Amino acid sequence: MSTKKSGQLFSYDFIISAMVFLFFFSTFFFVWDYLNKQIVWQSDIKDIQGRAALLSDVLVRTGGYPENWTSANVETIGLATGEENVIDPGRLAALNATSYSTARDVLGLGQKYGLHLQLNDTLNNTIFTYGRYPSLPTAVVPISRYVLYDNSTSRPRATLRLILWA
Amino acid sequence: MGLKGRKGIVFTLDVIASLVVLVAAVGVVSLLQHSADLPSVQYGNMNSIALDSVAVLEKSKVRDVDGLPVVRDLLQAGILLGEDRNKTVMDVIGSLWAQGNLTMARNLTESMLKGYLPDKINYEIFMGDTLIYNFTPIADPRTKITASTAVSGYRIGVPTSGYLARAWIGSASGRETKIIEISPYGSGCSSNATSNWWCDRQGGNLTMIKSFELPSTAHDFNGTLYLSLHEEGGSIYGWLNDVDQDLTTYGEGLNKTEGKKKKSKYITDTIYDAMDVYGFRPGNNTLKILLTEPSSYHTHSHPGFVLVVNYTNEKNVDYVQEQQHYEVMPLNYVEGNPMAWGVFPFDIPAGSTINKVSVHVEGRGVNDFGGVYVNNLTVWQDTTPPLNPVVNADVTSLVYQQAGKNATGETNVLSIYFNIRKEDDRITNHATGTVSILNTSYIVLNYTLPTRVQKYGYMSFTQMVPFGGQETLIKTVNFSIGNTEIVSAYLHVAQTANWEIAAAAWHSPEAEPTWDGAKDKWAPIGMQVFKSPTGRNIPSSIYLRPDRLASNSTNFVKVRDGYGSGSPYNYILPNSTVEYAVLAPGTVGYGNVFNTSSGATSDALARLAALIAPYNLTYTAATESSNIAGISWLWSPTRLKVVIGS
Repeated sequence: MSTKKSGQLFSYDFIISAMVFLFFFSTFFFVWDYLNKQIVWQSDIKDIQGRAALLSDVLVRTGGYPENWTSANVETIGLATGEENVIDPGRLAALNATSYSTARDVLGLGQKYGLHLQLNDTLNNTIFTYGRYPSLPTAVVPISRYVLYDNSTSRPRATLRLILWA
Repeated sequence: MGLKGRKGIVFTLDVIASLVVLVAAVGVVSLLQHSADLPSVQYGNMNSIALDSVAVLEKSKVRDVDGLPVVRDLLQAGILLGEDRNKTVMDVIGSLWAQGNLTMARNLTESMLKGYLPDKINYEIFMGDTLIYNFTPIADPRTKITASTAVSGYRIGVPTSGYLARAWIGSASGRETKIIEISPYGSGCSSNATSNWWCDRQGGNLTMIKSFELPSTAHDFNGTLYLSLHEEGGSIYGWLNDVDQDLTTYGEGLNKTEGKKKKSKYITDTIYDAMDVYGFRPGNNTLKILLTEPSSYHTHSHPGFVLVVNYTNEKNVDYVQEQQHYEVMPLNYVEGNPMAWGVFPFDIPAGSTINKVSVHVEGRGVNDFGGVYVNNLTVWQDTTPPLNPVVNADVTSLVYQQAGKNATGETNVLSIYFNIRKEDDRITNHATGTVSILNTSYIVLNYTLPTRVQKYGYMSFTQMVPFGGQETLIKTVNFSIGNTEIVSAYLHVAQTANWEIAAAAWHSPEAEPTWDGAKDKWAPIGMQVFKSPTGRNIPSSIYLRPDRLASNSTNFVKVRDGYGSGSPYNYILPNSTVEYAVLAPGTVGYGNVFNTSSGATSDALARLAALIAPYNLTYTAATESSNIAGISWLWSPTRLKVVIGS
């Protein structure tokens, strides 16, 4: 009689308590995993935002290195003429001739991040594009810089839009 | 059912509770990190926009944006010339700002940035402290970023080659005004240091002689004598350079507006009136006033007795005030019976270093009492004075400018009292039977101004402002002074009955001073410019510190009597005036660039004529024309500032 009562107690109380425990335990792990991904994503976003700001500064305020760099000898990519915020068509052409993977390496993005560049005039006509749009990115950071485009006859206002993604 | 049967449940609730706490803690940490990231990112983006905005304005040239309607308008209106196409947009905005054309500066800035910068941010563009353009005002932003750069540039619309000219007045003549003050003097009542006043004798004749200088090149004189006298009975005579002014031809009260009554003698009380006087001459002039045969002790003058002289004279086209000032001020001759008394103001400009102030006083026929005072302090007094006393004294330590006394203003008063004995009458053979303050008496002022004032190409002009209105115990006058430098100012108070006055001066936006009845002074004390040192001690000319008045402002002067032992009938008269002198430029610099020398010279002469038009001068002008080539004109450096807020 006593053996029968012990078995009944085990099966009923244990099952209920185990179910409740498992429910909350699994909820904890789900939340833990979600938050962990969020933190990683936040970290990536923070990193990519910093990189995007720095990269946009390098592109619009410097001319790169060497001074007349080409796809063959580029060490640092910069798009400005001798003046900050004035974009040089020759350097845009040099960038266009540079492979996407080389450009990513030179810009310090490696395989982790991708980029896309687009230069538009004030009527939103595209003057120049480079790079790739993200397909399934985990993080995307767009940044716009306000510049002049130094064509051969004038220097109209333009907007350089940089998208960095992971 | 015992405790053993409940172990599983207790265990489960503990775990659940701890898990809930843990999940909540992880969530809070995650949210904190997420929110902490946002401001720095936003800050970075706004900073980039601000820097880019400055760069675009700084590097865009007019030719790059000549498709903008506002630029086309500037070119078509001639505000921008063809050669300005190579200037930067910032040059043009700055030049428009420097020329005061804020509308065009705003339109150009707007056309450069609106629709170009993102419309989700607010931004403002400043040139110096002037708001040029704002795309929605930044009222109370969470984040605010400023980028600025020092800017200067070449003026737009100015040819870089051609002729320019300047002009200045070589010689000029015009009307000038000089105010000759005659502070109270008299005969009648006697006084000494112990018995004060007694007025039990009929006064004798009273003579006052005032000498003054007019410029040796002056001509076309006219003058107005503001008589402020008190004589009961008797007659009043006046001479200017021995020309009888026929003062008695006016009726009782000497009011010209009531018409001439042709009385050779009259009986009157107090007199205040303005009358024309004749006989001025260049150089030294002498005004003599004689009051005869009074029927009581009242034979004296009151405050406001001044002679205003107008004349045409060659203007001095340079204004120079030497730093070292040494001046000998001769005193008026006063002869009376049984007394001769007078007050003589002197002033030392604010901020000066006093080297020495001394007095030399000579009397004649004094046989009862003599006293000499500066403000309310005794210099000399003697109840048994010599018949013809001579007083020499260094009074430097007694003047108001000394430490602790400057709240009373810069006007000091020398007071002199000479008596003859009661038992003597005016025909007793002591001297002339009268007692006199001799005009060989004088005050010596020796002080050093803070700096030498030299304003080459500037001329001084004197303006007179009457108080007007009704006679009242407290009167205020207000007047505006334009964009010009004030070099001196005086208050001339007119009264027919008086005791003591206190005057204050201020200018907008300063608050009007109030009367502190407990201390008998104007408050704040810094606005008080004069207070009588003793009773009956009211000079006809009171110095106003220039810092109490202001250019481009409304100025106020307020004066009152009737405090202390004063009477509520000690009115300030409407003829009280403020006199001030200002400097006006007599030169214009280089102006616009013209294609011809004659064009540039005509422009310079026209600018000079417009400049001095308010002063009604006859003048000859000198000009200088220069040829320039390839010279651009800068507008002054300032800072261009872009403020971004969100």
